[in-house]
Amino acid sequence: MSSSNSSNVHVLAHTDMALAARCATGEPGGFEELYRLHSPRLFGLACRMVGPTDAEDLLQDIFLNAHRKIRLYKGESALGMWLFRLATNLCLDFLRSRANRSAQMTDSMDAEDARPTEGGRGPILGVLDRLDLERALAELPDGCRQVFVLYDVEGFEHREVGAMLGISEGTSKSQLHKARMRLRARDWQPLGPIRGRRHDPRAFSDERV
Amino acid sequence: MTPEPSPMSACDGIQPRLSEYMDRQLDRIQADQVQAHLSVCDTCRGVADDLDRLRGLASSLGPITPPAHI
Ligand SMILES: [Zn+2]
Repeated sequence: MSSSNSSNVHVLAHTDMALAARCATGEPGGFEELYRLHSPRLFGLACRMVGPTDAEDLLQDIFLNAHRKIRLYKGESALGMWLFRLATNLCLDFLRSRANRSAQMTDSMDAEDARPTEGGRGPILGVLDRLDLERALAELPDGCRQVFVLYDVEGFEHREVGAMLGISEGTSKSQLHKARMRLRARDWQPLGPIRGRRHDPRAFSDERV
Repeated sequence: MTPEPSPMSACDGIQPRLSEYMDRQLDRIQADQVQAHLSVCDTCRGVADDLDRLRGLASSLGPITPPAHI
């Protein structure tokens, strides 16, 4: 994730340090501002990583931890990124303990998901909306959901995703593809109309830069 | 009978690389292979379109404001 320009980075770093100091010294309103600024992104992360049911408790945990550790923030990265890493680690801890509890860590994909699919009909087409996708994320195995959320939703590079999740870049790439193929293969309801396919190899090549 | 331009064996080699192709993670030679295949194969082209749509939708999922009681 790159910031817009260097002067902004400087201003942000200054603001971040000031806010962190206000939180660390318990200045009135400091922590409320931290929460107001950063909770929406972190709550989005938590909802997608662990599901909306557990996300509220997890968000409390995240800010409890942030409160305890804010003194350790020295401005090496943006405060938002510092919080995001802390939140990601707590999400991973939560998922690990949930997987241990239920012993249903099914991180392997069914072979047919990765196999070439028949026919030109796309199950997703135009009918899939954001809410459908949010719900469908819950059905993904933990491993590939984590990568999908960090790469496709949050916009990190594979190198960064790998570092955050403790996996290799190659694993990040393969898990991302699994997640996308699995979501594609899902039985989306209602299905859109069958549609002819275009023949333009450049159609999607310039979107994500 | 129309000759089949894309036997499943070719698709087998292409579909696992579609995400990396879309994300520009492939080297030039591999990317050209995928692109050449997509220009003749409706099936893989359809998969690629769907993955691309999915990717676009995912990138549009924004922050979520937590409920006020937290
Ligand atoms: Zn094909």
